[in-house]
Parts: sequence; structure tokens; C-alpha cells
Amino acid sequence: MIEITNLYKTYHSTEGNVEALKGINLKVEKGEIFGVIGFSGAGKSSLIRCVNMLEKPTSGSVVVNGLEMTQLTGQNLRNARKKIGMIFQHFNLLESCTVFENVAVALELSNTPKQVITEKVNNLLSIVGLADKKNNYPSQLSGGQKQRVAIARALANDIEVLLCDEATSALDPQTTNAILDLLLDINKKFQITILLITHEMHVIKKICDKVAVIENGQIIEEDTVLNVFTNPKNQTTKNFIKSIMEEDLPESVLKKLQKEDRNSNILKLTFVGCNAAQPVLARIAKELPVWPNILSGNIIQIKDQTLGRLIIELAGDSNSIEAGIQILKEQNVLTEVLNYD
Amino acid sequence: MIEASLWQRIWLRVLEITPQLSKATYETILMVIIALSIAAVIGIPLGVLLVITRPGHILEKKWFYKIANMLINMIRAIPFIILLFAIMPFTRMIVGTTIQLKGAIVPLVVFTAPFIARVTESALLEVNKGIIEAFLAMGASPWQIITKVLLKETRPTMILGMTISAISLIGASAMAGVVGGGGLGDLAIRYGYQRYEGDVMLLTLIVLIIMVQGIQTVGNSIAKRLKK
Repeated sequence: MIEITNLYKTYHSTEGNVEALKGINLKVEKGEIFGVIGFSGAGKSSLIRCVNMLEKPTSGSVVVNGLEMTQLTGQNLRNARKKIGMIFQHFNLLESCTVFENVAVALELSNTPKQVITEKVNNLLSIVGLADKKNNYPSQLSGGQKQRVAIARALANDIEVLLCDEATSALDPQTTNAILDLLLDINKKFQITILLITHEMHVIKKICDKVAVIENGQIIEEDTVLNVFTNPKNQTTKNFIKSIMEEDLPESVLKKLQKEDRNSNILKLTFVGCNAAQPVLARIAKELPVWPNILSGNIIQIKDQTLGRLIIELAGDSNSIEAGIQILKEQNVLTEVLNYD
Repeated sequence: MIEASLWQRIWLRVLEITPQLSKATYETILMVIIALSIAAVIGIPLGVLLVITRPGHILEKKWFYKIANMLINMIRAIPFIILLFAIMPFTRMIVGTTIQLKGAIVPLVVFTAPFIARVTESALLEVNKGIIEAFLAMGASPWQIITKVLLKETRPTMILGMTISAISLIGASAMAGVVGGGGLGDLAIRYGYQRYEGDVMLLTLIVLIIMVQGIQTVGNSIAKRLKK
């Protein structure tokens, strides 16, 4: 649905050139929710704005739904843009217009007949849950409600792709979740492909199928969200994951372990999907002369899958520990021996 | 008895002045309405162009922006009383005369149009860039962005701007009276100043004050009603 090849974007200014994007390659399949995560200044904003040509790429190709966007101009570009919705961090609604008018204006742009507009806008407003606010003005709405209006406006022209430019970054955690649920709902109901950029791992975890990590204008890691969470390769990626799932042991536990010289190994266990519910630790303790001791634990939901993470101390003689690790691996538990020396 | 006759004298004097005063008021109103309309037709599009052609905006045209900007500054630098005489050949070329209502309208328009352009420019620059971007992303044409975003979002500010323009036009129209444009300014100068008829001067001022107050009040209330 979206295919970005070898995309470069360089900004020229009097203070010199800034290379915002350096050879981005990205493919978003139809119906997918694809997240791009990066710190501010990483280039994610330039990237998403190159998709609908709000920024003209310096070189490279951007194909959306079979159309080479970089070649389009004038009316052709405008027609292509009508099929690509976009929502923003600061909503960007018309302050002088009511909720209804704000959504209707998107249809007026393509000269939709008045009757159709009324019907469609009412329908859209009930989809986003704002049917009762249609005569209110943006200044009378909360941030979450404003973003709902923006979503309804974006959906008005039967879009195929929705671009989300930090759409939840100005919202509180609760509202963020409600908006993310709405986006997920829209993605399922209308088969709309979503490309979003964010700096919050929470957003990726909650709704994305795939994630790309961007740093210094380059994609440094890209995979399904689950794979990235279970096996992050890059330090930046690890840092992002740490923001929602603590990987390190608490300082006090670590000190105690280092002080006492025990005959044990520290293991990091990752459970994916249904094996999160199996009593593997109890099993190895029963079958082998080992004593698992849970040091820290975490379980999170990644879209519709569960990911469990345990850090345990496995005490016993080294052969038994080895055998225990073997059993864990057989049970498809990702096992990693940690060194804290 | 003496008091009654004083009131009587004042009353008679008012009656005497009334025809001239109402004629002059009518002329002023006519001058302001005609000049304001023409100036708005020129100034508002010019103001829009000044905004959309500036670097980074929807129809960037650097040279146009620079030239228009300079021209407007040049005209705005000339005091109206001087402009009035300086452009007389131009006025004659356009309307065939430099006197009366017709002759006064041309300099008033030349004076007010750049003013309205600046008022429009500063109003339109207030529009959040994000909103323009959102509309570009929705596939809006430049014309749709002008009409559905820029001018629509700034209606209250534009109304206040037009109010200020109308009031400055009343002031300028008084000066235009000097070249025979008529109006309240003309009346005040000819009767009030040159013929020492202080009461005419006073009445003219009262009418002018009422006019300015009225325009400002109406402008404020429209702007308030449009503001959300």
C-alpha cells in the first residue's frame, strides 16, 4: 500500500544543509498498522510528511496505492491526497466552525452534494462518538474530542491510508488509549492502512503490527512488534522497550546477588503468547534439583498477544541448571543467561 | 424671556445649518462607502496575495511578494494631504476630473487600499500554519484554502480591520474636502474655519464623533458575534 524506496530529504538553509532522511526503505502492506518510532529530530516527521508530499523528497520514490507520489502535481496530487487522510498532534481544526462544519468541509472540497454531506457527516460523527457534539465549537471540546473530530474529517473522503503525525502526543494517557482504540477500530472496520509516527513505545505496543525504529534519518531496526519486543537488536530499540518494560534488576537485588557468592545463574525468560500461561518453572523445580527464585516479572499486552518477561535466579549444581535451561528452551521459552559480574 | 430667546436663536441657527450639514453628512457617507468598497475590492485580494506569495506559503512567489511589499510601503509613507495633490494627474486620467466626489474617490482609494491590504495581511498571518497544512493534506486547492480557511477563520479580525479602515477613511475624506470633494470636512473648513462660524465647526465635530462611535460599535458587535 505504501512503498518508500531510497528516500532522501535534505533541508537547505543559510546555516548549512541538514540531512533529515538518508535512504529510507519502507513497505507498509494493505490493512496494516505500521509504526515508526524515534526521538525528536530523528526524521520521523519528515518521513511521514514525504508520504503525502507535504514535504518534497530530495530523491527517492514514494508509491501510495500504486501512485508514484513524487511525480504528481496540481490536480493529480490533490486527488491522490484526498485518498490519504492525515491527523496531527495539534488537531488543526477550524476554530470558527462547528464540529459538523469541520467534518463537512472535507467533503465540500470535492464538491459533494449537500444532502450526501449531511448524511455522511452525521454517520462519521457517530462512528467517532461525537454525534451529540455536532453543533459545538472546537474551543468547547477536550483534546481527545478534538482529535475525534480530526479523525472524522480525515475519514470523510473514503480514504485508503491514514497518516498519524504524533496524533496522541498532546493527550493524557487515558485519552491516548481511547484514541488508539478508535484507530484500531477504524483499521479493522474499514481496512484502512495506518502509518503512524510516535516517540511513545506504548502507542507501538498497543496498536501496531510492525514497527521501524528511526535514528539520524535512517531506519536502524524493523520487524513485527512482537519480534522487536522479544529480541531487540539495537541499543536505541532497547531503550524504547525499557520505557514500558523494565529489563534490569532493581539496584538493591543486584547488590545483594553480587555480594553473596551463590551457586546460581540469573536467567531472563521471555514468554510469548499462550505459553505465558504454562507452569514451566514449577515443572523444572519438580523434575530437577534446582530452585528457581523470581527476581522480577513483567507481563504486557502487545496488540492481541501477551508477552511475559521474568528474571529468575536458578540455583543448583551446574549440570542441573544446564538441564533446566534445556527444558525451558524446549517449552519455547526464550532463555537468556545474564551476566551481572 | 432672555433664556427663551437664546434657545430660540440656537434653534433657528440649527434649522439654518441643517440642510448644509445633512448634505455634507450624506456626501461623507457616500465617499466613505464608495471608497471603502473599491479599496476593499483591491486591498483584500492584495493582502491575500501578500500572504500566500511569501516564502514558505502556498503559492510562493518571492519577486511578487517583494515588489508588492515595497509598493505598499511607498504609498503608505505618503501623508494623505500630499498624496491627494501628488496623484492629481493620475486622478484626472482615471475619472477625468480632480474635483468633486469623483475626484476625491481616487485618492481615497489609493490611500485606503494599501491600508486594507496590510490589515488583511496581518489578519491572515494569524492563521495557524498547521490548519493550512491539514487542508493541503486533504487535497484543498489554493483557492479553497483562501476561501475556506484563511478568509473564513479570520472573519472577526477582518471585520475589525474594515472598521478601522472606515474610520481612517472618514478622517481622510475630510481632507479630500479641500479639493472640493465636499463632505463634513469641507463644511467645517469653509464655514467653521474660513468664515469663523464656530457653531458650524462644533456641529460638524459632533456629527463626526457620532459617526465614528457608531461605526466602531457596529464593527465590534459584528466581530463579537462572529468570534467563537
